[in-house]
Amino acid sequence: MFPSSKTILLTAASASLALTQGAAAEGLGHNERRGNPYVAGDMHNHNTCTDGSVAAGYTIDRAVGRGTASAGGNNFDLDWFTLGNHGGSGNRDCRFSDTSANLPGQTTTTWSQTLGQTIDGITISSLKGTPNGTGTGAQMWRWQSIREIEYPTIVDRSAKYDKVLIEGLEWIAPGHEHVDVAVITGQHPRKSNGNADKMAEFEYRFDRADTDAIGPVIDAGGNQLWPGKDNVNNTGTAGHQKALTGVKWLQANYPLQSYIIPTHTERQGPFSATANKGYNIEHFRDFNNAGPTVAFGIESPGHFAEGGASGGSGSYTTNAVGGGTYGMSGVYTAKVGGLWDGLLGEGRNFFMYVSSDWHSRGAGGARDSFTTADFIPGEYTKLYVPNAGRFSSQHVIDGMRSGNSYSVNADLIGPDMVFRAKTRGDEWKTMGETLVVRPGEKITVEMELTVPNENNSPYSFDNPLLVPIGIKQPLNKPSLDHVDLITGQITGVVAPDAPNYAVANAAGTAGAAIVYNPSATIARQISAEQMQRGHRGDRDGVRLKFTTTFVAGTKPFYIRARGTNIPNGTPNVSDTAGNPLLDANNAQVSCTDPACPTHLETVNGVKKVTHDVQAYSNAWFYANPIFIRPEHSPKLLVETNGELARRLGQRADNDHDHDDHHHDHH
Amino acid sequence: MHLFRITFCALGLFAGIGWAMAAPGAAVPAADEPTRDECNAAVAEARALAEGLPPDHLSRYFAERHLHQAMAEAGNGEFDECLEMAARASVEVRERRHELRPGERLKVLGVDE
Repeated sequence: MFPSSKTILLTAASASLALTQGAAAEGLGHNERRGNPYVAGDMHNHNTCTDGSVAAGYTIDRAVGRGTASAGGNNFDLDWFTLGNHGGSGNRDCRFSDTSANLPGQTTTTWSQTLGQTIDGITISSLKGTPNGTGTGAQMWRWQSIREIEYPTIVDRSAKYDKVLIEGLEWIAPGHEHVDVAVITGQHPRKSNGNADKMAEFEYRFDRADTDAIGPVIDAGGNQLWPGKDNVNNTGTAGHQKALTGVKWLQANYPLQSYIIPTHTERQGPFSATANKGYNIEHFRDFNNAGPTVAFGIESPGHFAEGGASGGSGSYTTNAVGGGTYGMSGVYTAKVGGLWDGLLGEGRNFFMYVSSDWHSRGAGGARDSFTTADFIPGEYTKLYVPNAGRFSSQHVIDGMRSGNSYSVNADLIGPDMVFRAKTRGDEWKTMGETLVVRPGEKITVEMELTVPNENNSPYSFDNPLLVPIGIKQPLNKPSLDHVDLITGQITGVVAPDAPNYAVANAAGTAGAAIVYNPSATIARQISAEQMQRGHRGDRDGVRLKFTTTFVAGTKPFYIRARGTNIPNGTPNVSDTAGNPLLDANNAQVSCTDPACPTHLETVNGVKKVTHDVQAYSNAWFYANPIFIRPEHSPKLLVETNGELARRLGQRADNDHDHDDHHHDHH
Repeated sequence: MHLFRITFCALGLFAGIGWAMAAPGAAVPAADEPTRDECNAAVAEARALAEGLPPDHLSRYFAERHLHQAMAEAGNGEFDECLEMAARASVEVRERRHELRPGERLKVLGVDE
C-alpha cells in the first residue's frame, strides 16, 4: 500500500538544492543511514563555554550517543548535531560540567584554575585578545573557545561517533535577538584536521557580546589576523546595519557553506531602534534580501519545559510578541496568517526550523529524567533534513536551504514523512519546491507519516490536557489527532521602498493580532481517523497516509502542513478551528493523576500542567511549504534563489576543479 | 536518590561575583543595556527573598536553581538574561510556585548516585 523506504528516499533526495562541495564536506558511512529518508538533528544548544550546564563533550555524547550514558541518563542518537553556543565570552572551562549538573567528578571550573594544564588533550596557555576580567572572572572570548576548545572537542567526538558534527554559533546579533549560525568551511573533524576559523572569525567580527578589539594575532608584533572590526555599532538601528553586514559577509564568502537562522524571535518583543530587542517583518526581509542563500528561515523557540503557572515556555514572558508560545511555537510561526505566512506570501525562500536550546534541566541534574527547563538535544525535538546518500555537513546546510525539512516535537511523527504535490504524470514536488500548474488543473497533495510507538517521555499517565474531554492518551505514546494543510496566496515580493515593507509590531498579546497574510487559512484538516492506516512493525509504529486535491487558480500559492495530538476546541489548549491557544492557558488545567510529578507548579496546592508534562501534553510538528505557480507566471523568489544556489554550486565545483588542476602542476 | 540539594560554593567561581572591571580596550556596552552591577543586585535581592523560606521549602530550591542560572548568564556576559532569571526566582518565592504534599519529595540524582 505504501512506497518502500527506498522509494521515499529517492523522492526526498531529488529535492535537495545545490548539493555542492562534495569533496570538501565530510560524510557518514552508509551503515548509519538506517534507510530513513530524513535524518534528525539539532542546531541550537549550549555548554559551559557559555551559559549551559554541562561540558561541550558531554552535550555531544548525550545528543548523538546511543543507549545509556556511562554515568546514567539516556542518550538520544541524533544523526547530526551542530554545537551552537552563544557568542561573547565565558569564564568557565567547558571541558568540565557545572556543579549544578550533579555529574560524578564534575565541579564548576574556571579558566583561571586550568591555564597551562593539558586536559582532554587540550592545553590552554593563555586567554587571548583583550583582557576580559580577572581571577575566577577571567573570561575567554568565544572566538578562542570555538577554535581551541569546541572544535577540537568535535574532532575528538567525530572519531568516536559516526555522526555529522558541526561547530556553530548562537550569534548575539547587533540590534537584535539571537541567530543560529554555522560556517562549515574548513571544518573536517572526521579527518581529524581542519579548523573552525571561519566560524570563529564571524563570531569575532559580528557578535555584539564579543567586544574584544584584538582577536588572534599573527606575529610577535601583535598584528591582527582579523583587522577592521566594527566594535561600535552594536545597538538598535545601527546594530541592525552591522547585522546586515554580517549577513552580506556570509553571502559573499560562504554562500553555500553557511546559514543564519534567527531564533526565539518573539522573545524580546518588537525591534527597538535604540536597544537590542527583537525583529519586525522588515528585518527578516532585509536578511533574506542581503543573504538569499544563507538567510533562509526562522527558528521557533526551544526551552520547551520552562512553562509554569503563568506561562514561560520557550523562555517567553508576557512581553514577548504574542505574549508567550502557542503549541510550543512562537506566534510568528504558530499563527495562521502571521509573520511567517507574510514572508511565504511573498514567495520567499523562508523556512521554519526547531531545535532544543538546551542549557540545563532546571531543577534537575543532567541525568535526571525530568526537566523544568530544557530538553537534551534529540530528547524532545528533532529537526529533519533529507538523508542525501553519503550524509555530510554540507548536506545539513543543503537540506535546510532547500526547505525540504520538517520539525517534530515529542516524536509525534518519525523520520519518514512524505509531503508532496503533483498535477499530471508522476512529477512530484516536495517541501521547498515549486509545482508549475495550468489554471483549472487538479493538484494532488499526498502525505504519509509514521506515528512512532513511543517517545522519550518518562511519564506513562494519561495526557492531562485531554482528560477533560474524555481522551485517554499516555504521555509516552505519541498520538496524532489531525493534520492541517494551510494555504496562502503569494502576491509577490514587497520592495524595500514599498509602504508595507515595514509593519508596526507590538509586544504581548497585541502582537498576536497582527495579520501579515490575510489569505492564509486552514484549507484542509484531515483527522488521523480519516487517513489510510498501515503498520510498520511493532517497533516503528503506525503508518498513516492521506491524499487530497486542490484546483489550480490563476494566482500562485503555497501549502504548508502542521499536525498535533490536540483535537479542535480542547479547553485551554486549542480553538474550534484547531489553532493552538496561548500556552499559558494550559496551566489552567490540573494534573490530577497520582503519578503527576512533584516538580510541577502548583496553585492553591493543586499541580498544574506545567514544565515537561506540558511539553509532552501539547505536541506539534511543522512541515515547510510546497509552492504552486501557474505556468507562464513570473518565477517566485524561492525559485530564483534556488537557481542562484545552483549556479554558485556549479561555480564552486569549477573553481575546485581548477584548484585541483593547479595543484597538480606544483 | 535523595531530597533536593544544591551546592553554592561554586557560585562565586563561575560568575566572578563582585567583578565589575571593564575590559581594557573592549567596547563599552550600550547605555541602556543591563549591567553586571544590576545583575548582581537583582540576584542578591532574590537570594535574600529565598533565604526567608525554610531551607527545605521546594520553592527555595527552585529559586536557588534560577539564581544559579542567573549567574551562569552573567558569566557569559548576558546580563539581560541574568535579570530575567533573578526575576523568576523572586516570583517563585513570592508565589510559592512549588509545594510538596505531605509525604512527597523531589527526587534529584545526587553527584554520588
